[in-house]
Amino acid sequence: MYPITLKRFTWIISAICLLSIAWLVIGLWDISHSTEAINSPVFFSLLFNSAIAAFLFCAFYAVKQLINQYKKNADLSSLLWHIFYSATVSILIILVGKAFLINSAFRSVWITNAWNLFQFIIYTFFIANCFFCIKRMILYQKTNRTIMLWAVFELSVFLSILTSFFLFKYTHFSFLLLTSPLTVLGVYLSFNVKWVAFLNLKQKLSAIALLGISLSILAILLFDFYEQHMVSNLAFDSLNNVFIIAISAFIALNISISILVLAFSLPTSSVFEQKFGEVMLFQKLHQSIQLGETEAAIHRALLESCYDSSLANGGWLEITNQNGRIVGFENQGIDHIDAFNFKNLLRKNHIKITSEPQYIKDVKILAHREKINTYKYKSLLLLPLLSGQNRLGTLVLLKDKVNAFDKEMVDMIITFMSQAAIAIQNSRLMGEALETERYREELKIAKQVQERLLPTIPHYTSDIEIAVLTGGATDVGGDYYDFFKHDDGQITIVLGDVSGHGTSAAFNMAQIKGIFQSLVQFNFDPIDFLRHSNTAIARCFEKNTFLTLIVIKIDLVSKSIQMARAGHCLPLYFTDKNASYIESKGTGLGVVRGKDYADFIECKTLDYKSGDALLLYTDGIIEASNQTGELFGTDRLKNVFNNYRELKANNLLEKIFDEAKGFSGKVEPEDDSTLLLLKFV
Amino acid sequence: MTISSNKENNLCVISIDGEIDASSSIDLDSKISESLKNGERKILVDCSNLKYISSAGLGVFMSYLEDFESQGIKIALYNMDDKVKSVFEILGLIDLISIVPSKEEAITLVS
Repeated sequence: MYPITLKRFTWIISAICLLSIAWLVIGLWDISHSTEAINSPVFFSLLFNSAIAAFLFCAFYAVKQLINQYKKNADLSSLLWHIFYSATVSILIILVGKAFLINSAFRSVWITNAWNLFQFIIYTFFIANCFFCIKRMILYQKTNRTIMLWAVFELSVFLSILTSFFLFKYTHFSFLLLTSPLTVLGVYLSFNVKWVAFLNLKQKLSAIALLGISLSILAILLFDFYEQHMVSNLAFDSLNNVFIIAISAFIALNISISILVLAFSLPTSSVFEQKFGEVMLFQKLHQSIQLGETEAAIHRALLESCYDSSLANGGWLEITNQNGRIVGFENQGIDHIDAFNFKNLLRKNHIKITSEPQYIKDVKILAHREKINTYKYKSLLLLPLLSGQNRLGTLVLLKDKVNAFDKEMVDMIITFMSQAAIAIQNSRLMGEALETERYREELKIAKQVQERLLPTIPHYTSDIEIAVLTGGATDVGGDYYDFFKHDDGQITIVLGDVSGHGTSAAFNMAQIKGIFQSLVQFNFDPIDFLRHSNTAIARCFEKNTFLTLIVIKIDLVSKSIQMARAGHCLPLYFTDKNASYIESKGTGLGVVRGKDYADFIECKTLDYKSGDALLLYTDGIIEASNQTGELFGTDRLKNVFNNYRELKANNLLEKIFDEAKGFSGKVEPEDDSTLLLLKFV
Repeated sequence: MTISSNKENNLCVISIDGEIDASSSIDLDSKISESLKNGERKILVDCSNLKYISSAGLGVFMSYLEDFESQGIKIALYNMDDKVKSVFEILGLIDLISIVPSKEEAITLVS
């Protein structure tokens, strides 16, 4: 809706413009043809002046809308060119017209007045365009104050159109009274040429040219008006208009000041651009860091920033890891081989990389310079890339003049380096954190799987109380236990320990569970069970992985226990108020491959009675060590068991764990351990 | 853990100093495999300074048992601490790998 309305409005304004012009022309015609031209009656003057006023208002308003619409996001260059174009177009039209008129023989008063009016119209559009372009330039950097002042200025200037109704001479006192506040405001706003700072050197030069020409054209047109006024007998004085004078003066002043400021800023322009460029480099470096770029991208951005800001002719950046090995290399303006030669040169001159920048004003004075004599480089700057105490790398910059690096450049480069160092360090830490996180996730999954492989404690009969307690390192462990009740009523219990930690231990545990669950269906005695287990494990496990296991088979009817120990810790048997270890021959599973495993194990049988207890455990509890490196050991385990045997099964196991913890003094045990207690009721 | 090997006459003597845990077991593994590659047929392991051996370390010894057997390589561990020895005993590795008190006995065994 909005653009259509604006267009319509513009058309209306333009129409009114044209009507006013037509009215003016008619008026002029009348005036010039009537003999009372010079002593025009008040009525005609009033009509005439109101037409002029209406025309001025409409013309300026139309141009304002035009500029607002088409130059909304215009940059300074296009605004400057617009001023230039309106100036050249105006003068061209006028020159063409003049040429036409000169050729014309018919030079009546009417033609003179009509020509003057035509020139006035062209001039009005010209200064209207200038006025609104300048407005955009002044308001290029908006502050509330400037906007407000401009609004006041614009309003008062437009109101001054109304003064054409009052027939003042421009030398009259009231005229000056009206114009002075406007002048002050106009002058103040004219000096607001901050936009000059945003141009680079080239743009400034072209701006001076464009504005210079436009100003000259303005001057020419004004002078032409003045001449016409002096020479010919005109019906109306185009200069006797506060509005036109104010606008013209304002434009002239502003353009003059702009040209002066542009000219005076040329010498310092290059420095300013350099500073601006440095800020841009900072921004670029910062951005590349923000976007989470790879380390290599940060290296590249760093080298470029340092290279550009110091106007170097060659340079390279070496990145080293913690061990001092080179893991990254970026170069610019110099190839690998030349860089290598320079490195050698530095090394031969015993120039080591310290935590301070080092500056060699002339490399040609160094010793062993044969190889680099042909190169153009003379100054060398050597900087370490530090993050705290860590050296992340080295930067070398070269220039083809002696002593070409000044303090400002070096300071700037040091700032770039520290910013990049932080970014690189962050990037590395982030990488480490992600690795750790991934590892932790894997372990979590493995632990979940492992936990699901362990069975719940069964309650097969009220004659036997079974209790299991695991105390683990937070790591995934390899302790495995399982239970099975056979059809004939016998119970098989196993407790095993897979070597190692982590995810592989958990996976091995899963394999054993499979083997156990399959074999246990055949109701083997302990020896056969272990023999078949060994065969299976010898095939599944890797060569350096083995398993210790203890298998217990309980006959509830005959109240006897058969047990075989595959390299596992000796079980503790409590009977007749005393606990003792049951010794037997045994070798771990997966150790003996290819020979007959049964030769390495033996089966022990014993009868149990009410009140007896059997404790199975894994070596984690035995190997709990204290400050001096002493192990908890089998003796202490036995003593604790003896002392607290009256406790309920679960409480007894907890007590054993507490004792072990108390002994070692550590909150978390290093190794995972499992205690499995069978109490014969 | 530091591990080194010396040649004495026609014997390869590997000395272990410290503890063998999961990470240092890799060094033990590479040392033994290096000796095998060099064609050693008689290997002695000096365990005087071996303070502790984990299941990973035991696994390393175990993984070479078949190779030793098939290639006729003789290996003997000597001067082992009692605590470390008991680990070997419980696991039943005593019958599979020779552990003797002194160096002289070890030399006799492998020759």
